[in-house]
Amino acid sequence: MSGQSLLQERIQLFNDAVRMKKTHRIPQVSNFWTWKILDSEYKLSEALFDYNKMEKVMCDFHERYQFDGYLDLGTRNPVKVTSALGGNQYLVDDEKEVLNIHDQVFMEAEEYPELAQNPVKFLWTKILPRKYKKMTEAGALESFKNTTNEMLAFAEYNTKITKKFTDEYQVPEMLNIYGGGVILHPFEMLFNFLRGIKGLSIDIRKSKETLMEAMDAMYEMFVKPSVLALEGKTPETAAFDMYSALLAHSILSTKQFGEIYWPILKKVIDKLVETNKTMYIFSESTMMRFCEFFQEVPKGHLVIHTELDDIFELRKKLPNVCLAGGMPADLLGKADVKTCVDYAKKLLDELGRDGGFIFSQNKMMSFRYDCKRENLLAVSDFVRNYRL
Amino acid sequence: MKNPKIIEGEIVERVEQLEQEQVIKLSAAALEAGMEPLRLLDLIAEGMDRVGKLYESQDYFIADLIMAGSIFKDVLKLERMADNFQRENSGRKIGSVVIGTAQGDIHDIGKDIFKGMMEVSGFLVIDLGVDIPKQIFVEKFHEYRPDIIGISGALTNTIETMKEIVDSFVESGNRNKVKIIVGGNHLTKDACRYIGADQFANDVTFGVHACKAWMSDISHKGVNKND
Repeated sequence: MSGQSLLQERIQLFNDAVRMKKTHRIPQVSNFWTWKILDSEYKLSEALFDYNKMEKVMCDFHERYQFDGYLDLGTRNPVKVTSALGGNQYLVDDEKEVLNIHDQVFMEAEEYPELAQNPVKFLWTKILPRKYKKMTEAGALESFKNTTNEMLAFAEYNTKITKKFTDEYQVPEMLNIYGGGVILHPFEMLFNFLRGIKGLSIDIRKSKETLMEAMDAMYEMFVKPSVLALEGKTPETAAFDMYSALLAHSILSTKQFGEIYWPILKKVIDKLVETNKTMYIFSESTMMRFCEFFQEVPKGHLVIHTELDDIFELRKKLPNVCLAGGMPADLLGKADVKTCVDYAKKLLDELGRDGGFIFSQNKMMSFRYDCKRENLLAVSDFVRNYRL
Repeated sequence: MKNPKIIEGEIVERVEQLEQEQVIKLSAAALEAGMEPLRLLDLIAEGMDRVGKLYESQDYFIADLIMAGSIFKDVLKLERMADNFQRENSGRKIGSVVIGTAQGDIHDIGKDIFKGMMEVSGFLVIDLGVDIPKQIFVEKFHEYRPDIIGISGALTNTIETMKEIVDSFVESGNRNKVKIIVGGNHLTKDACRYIGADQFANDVTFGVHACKAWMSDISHKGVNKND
């Protein structure tokens, strides 16, 4: 099969999967993050701070395991960019082989009205100086210049590695950067970058009205442009139109999800349906209790990559949604090859037979003991060659 | 001043509804009117017990448990509570637990929720913080002689470090002197067996129930901490 046709074949496989059509084989997506560095010749810090090394990590990883798509091309953690501005949210520990991220709390509950009034101004004048101390110190201009250069270098790596994967390896992009791109729900922005888990949990009870107003303003400013961009054409190198990650939903009850989270997510999904586009959602933790919301989504537009739900149960509850994930880190890291391959076969047979399944790892594979190389080699080889 | 019984009922209900300002206002008024701090603590615990039940039925979720923890902390800050409430000396503790997040992980949410629920349930909790190495767990065991060691973790790599911590209790000859519970979303029965813990918990209420059951068992059979 020629290189070009392999790219097209992969895109077709993904497209058929999300449209809930049967496929002759099940596409597989890599949910490997820092583990791929630990599987290489480099330490975490060496690859994270050197784009040439990160490129080698990515290329070696692909040549070894040959996934059809990658949730991360070594672009998730722009540690060089944030470091240039004095940010210390990333904690890279080569000895423990861990990349940790601090809970980020940079605003108070009383500031929601100000955030709602002008989100961009609030981020520039309040959040960034709190997060990046160098912005307020002597030599700030030089720091900002260095950061800009680092951002450009990061963007250059992004472009280079994406092009290399689409052109040389015939691996599609997981999203259309010119269309929907990556969207982050305003509640996720507050959870991950502004209020932190504890603060936001209390705000839901004590400052709900101003919180909701701020989220509406953030939607207009940061999410709506991506939603409107769905009206454009999908490029021939992208598997999906939009990508999003759910994490903050993990603290919400079903009722809170319906009131706080779903209305904005529904706006996005409605536009996807209207424009006949697709979105890949990575859902950390569990989301089974929110199935009633997703059951109303018309068939053929969503992929939900579940982390900790029982994927077989989820299949029963969401016959309208393509599911991704399923392969447990527990097995890849602890079990033997046969056990891993047997489980992979069960996933393909039970979830893939009628279409609507993308094979992947349940967890974001980040630590050495999340996976053994021989298990991953055997499983990825088996999935690639198994025919339903 | 309302009938004390009505106030007591209202405190419990306001805790259940997670109405922080009302709980604090009513609690302060009750203390001012002469309610014993330990009586107030019982009422808060009753309210928290209802919160726990709502969590188990999934009417409440993690954000609500965090809110409940915040209410509990604020009640303890009230003047007469702060002056009088010393769990260590109250004679009311049902057991003691040393908790911490395993080395390599800095997540504290699960640990903090567990801590709050355990304190409400009458445990003395010694919180070691996050990113705690095995030797500190053993050292603090010798210092506090707790009934239970609680190891928390949100990252999958903590399965290894939890195992190392449990192993260090085995190696130092202390494993049979203490119960060990591990907590985290990613933990499974198999992972628990691999780690060598006595119990694992994916959610805090289950963990608290397990610890209470152990204490009930210990009070009947006893655990020899001086072997």
